[in-house]
Amino acid sequence: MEKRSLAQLLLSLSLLLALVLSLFGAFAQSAAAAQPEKKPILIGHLHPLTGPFAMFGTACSVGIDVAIDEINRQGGVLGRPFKVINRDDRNKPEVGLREAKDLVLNKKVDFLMGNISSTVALAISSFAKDAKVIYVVTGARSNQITEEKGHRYVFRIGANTFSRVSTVAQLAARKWGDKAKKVVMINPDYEYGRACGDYFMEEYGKLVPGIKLISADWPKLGTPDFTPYISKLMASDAEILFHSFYGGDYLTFVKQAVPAGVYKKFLVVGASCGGTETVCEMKKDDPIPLGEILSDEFPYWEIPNPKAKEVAGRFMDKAGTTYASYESVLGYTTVYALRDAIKAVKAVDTEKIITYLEGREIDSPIGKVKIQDFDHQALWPPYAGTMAFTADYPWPHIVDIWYPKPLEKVYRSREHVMKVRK
Amino acid sequence: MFGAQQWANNKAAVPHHIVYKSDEGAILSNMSLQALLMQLLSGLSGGMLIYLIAVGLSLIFGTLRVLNLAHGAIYMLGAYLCVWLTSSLKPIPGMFWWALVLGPFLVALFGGLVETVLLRRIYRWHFMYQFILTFALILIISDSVKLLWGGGFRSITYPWPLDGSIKVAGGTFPLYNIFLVAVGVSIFFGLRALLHFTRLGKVIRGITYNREIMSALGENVPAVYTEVFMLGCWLGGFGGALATPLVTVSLGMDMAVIIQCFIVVVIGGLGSLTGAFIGSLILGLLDAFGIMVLPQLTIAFGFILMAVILIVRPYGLLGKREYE
Amino acid sequence: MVLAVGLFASMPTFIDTSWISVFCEILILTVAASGLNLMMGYTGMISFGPAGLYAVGAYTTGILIVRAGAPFGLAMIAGPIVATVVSLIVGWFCVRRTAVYFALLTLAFSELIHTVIFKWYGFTKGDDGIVDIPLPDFLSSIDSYYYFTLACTVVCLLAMWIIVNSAFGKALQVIRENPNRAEFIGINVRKYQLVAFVIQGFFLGAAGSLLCGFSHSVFPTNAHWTKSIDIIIACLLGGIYHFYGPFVGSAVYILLDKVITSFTEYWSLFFGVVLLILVLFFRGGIAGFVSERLSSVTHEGS
Repeated sequence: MEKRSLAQLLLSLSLLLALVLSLFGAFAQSAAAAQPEKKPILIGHLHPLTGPFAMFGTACSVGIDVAIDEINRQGGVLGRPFKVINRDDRNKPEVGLREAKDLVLNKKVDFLMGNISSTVALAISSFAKDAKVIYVVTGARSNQITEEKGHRYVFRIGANTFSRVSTVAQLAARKWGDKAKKVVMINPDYEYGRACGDYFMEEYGKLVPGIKLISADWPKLGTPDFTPYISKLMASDAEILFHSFYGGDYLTFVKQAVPAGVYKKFLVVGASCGGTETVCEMKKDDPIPLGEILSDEFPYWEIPNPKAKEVAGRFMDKAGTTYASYESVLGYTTVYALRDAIKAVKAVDTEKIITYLEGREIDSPIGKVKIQDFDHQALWPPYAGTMAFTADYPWPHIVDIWYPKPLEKVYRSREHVMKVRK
Repeated sequence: MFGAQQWANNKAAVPHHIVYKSDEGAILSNMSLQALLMQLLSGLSGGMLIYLIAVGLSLIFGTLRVLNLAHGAIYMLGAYLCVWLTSSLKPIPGMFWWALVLGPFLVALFGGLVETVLLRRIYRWHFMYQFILTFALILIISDSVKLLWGGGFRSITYPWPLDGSIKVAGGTFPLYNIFLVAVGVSIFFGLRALLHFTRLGKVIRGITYNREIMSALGENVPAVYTEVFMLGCWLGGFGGALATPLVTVSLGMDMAVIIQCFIVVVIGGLGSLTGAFIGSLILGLLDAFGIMVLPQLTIAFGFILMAVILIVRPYGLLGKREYE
Repeated sequence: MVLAVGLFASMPTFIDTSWISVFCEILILTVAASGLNLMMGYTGMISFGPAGLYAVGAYTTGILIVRAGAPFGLAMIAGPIVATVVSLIVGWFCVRRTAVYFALLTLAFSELIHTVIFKWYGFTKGDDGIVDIPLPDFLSSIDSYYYFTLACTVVCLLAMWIIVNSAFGKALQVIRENPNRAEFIGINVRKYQLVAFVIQGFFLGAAGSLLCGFSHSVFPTNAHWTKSIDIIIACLLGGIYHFYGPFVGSAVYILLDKVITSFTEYWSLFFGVVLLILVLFFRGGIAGFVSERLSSVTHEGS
């Protein structure tokens, strides 16, 4: 075996080299073919496209595609069309990082955007900083992305964990504060769940004196059976239940908790989850969490600005669904923000675009949204409301939407961000 | 003020992430007998759900000696088929029950195809090749599911007449979960009956002990292998279909479930169906009572048990090759 | 071997930086897979849990640099050393079992390591991971880190070559073929297996440390069982009975992934099909296939 190994190695290496060079050649050729003046402005979009969060990736793509179609039909920007390259980050930071590197170094994208997992977003953000490429986070919520680990090249268009939890906590305190002091919570066991738990205790505790935490559960993400957690909850004497389930976990929990009487026994507050891509699966005769306080970033049925509903309609047409997801509007807004920035500075110049966007009020289907200059966090209203069934939609959704004004109050201040960045 | 402790103040630590002292002790000490009973019931029904998913894996490993990594994907396939059949043929009353019959049958057919075309070639090879082959199957099945049904969440709820709850031990317990327990127990006894009282069962047990002798005795061993694999897939698909009213059907449910199946099979003893039954119950009860005592460690329970069993008693609770 | 090194060393001069990054990944995976192959190919013991030890190496390096401010060189060496210690403990339990039980126990330990990393927020920062790990200035560009990785890989492979060609290595192969006979001729099988396990741990830890520097970050997913699968497939694809198998396997695995994801969203399907074909038709792995062809060609005369 050993005598052959040199020959083997040589052969394998030459196969390898042949493979690599042919690929290289293929890429070089296609790049050469696309040479005409209308070189597209490339956006690299990273999101899970497989696995349990594929939903969010597809929804964001829908928003991006609708925006790009509209912009390109009007001639693009600076005479150049937009083009998006979608990559699956498989919700893993190493893969996300690898794809981001490929997009920036190989495909030479001008911008990066996307991601629902904060861990992946943090990894890509770190790379974007070194590579000096603008990275706009849409779905990932961790405050660390714009606070501790924030930097010049990362932006977030969308709410963050603290703003959403604070909002629902405030709403809960206003509605129920006088009678709900004993808290139980159940959060999926990972950074987002833990952060939500912390923030809720902090914020609700500030508004409602004398709260007490009776029990805290940390089920694994993707738990199929919540029955033991539910029976444990029912055995306690708490008054208010807080959770941070979203997506599939939320649907599972609701299906199991409503019949068990959880929603009759407790007042329930959820950190997120009003998202239509999730609630659309609840039908009229299913167990429905009426009266639950939830948060969603795109409750287009109640947003006063008529553009919201109209753009939602375009998303629904494009995706062929009966609902429009918040990820779509975030993707849409991001593309338009980039377009407006490029148009204003008259070049695809990263540094100038960053300076333009800082402190800018960008246009979005929900109205004007300001991007803070010190942390590049958009002051996206983290709408909160209570779940109800209305006649015009086949699925339940939040109503009586509200968010605290001014928005700066639920987003961290300059002093706070500067302090944590030390 | 709620009890809290700050993590050590350190550059790498983040200001939030306070650990609370939640008052589980109070719940435990105040827990009445009936509440404990409810927790017990939850644990049992949870365990039964796991059993219904894992029993197929156990059967396939016991007879075919194949560690079918794709079993989770089979479960997912069964779940998606059930949801699709139920919701696309809505007008017919009791559609769920029809889907419950039809879905797993289709999965079994698929399993038969996989076995004859792919698996059959590699039985004699080292088990690591099965590992890779079944992993490749996971990749193929999950993308096929995505192609067919998209990446969104699907959900159906408890089918009539099991959509209520019953009053038991002073609390309410969902009827469907009780139904699952009944089904689990039936499957257990049904499999035992199959293996001990039918000719096929005896052949299967014979093959488990010694494939060559059975072949020499004129049994069509390859056909039996196919049948066992199909049965295992049927069980996996059936578990998936049964789980649909309880869980959310989405891509990724295969990965979520496969490790739990492995844990069950290890605890019970590779190849022992009774072991799988007991192992599932143990895991279910561990989860149900573990969260009362140590909620912070919820995600670790299964692995700790798995490691302990493998270290202390690797053949699991019921030994290596028992088919009682 | 010298030719290969020369080839790789000259790569950065005529290939794009983005590909250098890919080759760097290939080298890192090669180190990990070579370590694993000592167990799988030479000793015949299949491990389902290399990711745990790999992550231990990565986290050791990351934590030392970020929290203890340790100098880079020290942190890089500490990674494999700590991984070696952990693998001694884990291995002591695991080698008492055989075949499937051994494999499952390695999986259980790997998942336990993953859980510890995930939950022990105060020490490892849990699933936030540790990002922005600083490297010394001379290693800050992709090209320079590539050379560094290349150097480390060559050293590791040389060490592995010496190990597998030594008496110890031969003894391992005897154990692989027939453990009972090995006992009869006086080889203390358990001890040799444990030593092999520990050496594997060293290599996996080294790969982890290299990864830490490469991606400037570490995450709990480095210890997830799907990462174990990556390393195992790299071994198997290349051919576990060949010294350069892990290298070929790593290269093919990563390049295949890259090519497939760049033209389709349904990478999972294509990848699964390719894997199927490779398992069914190239059982000895690609290096195995190549060497068979070579030997049939060169044996034509006889």
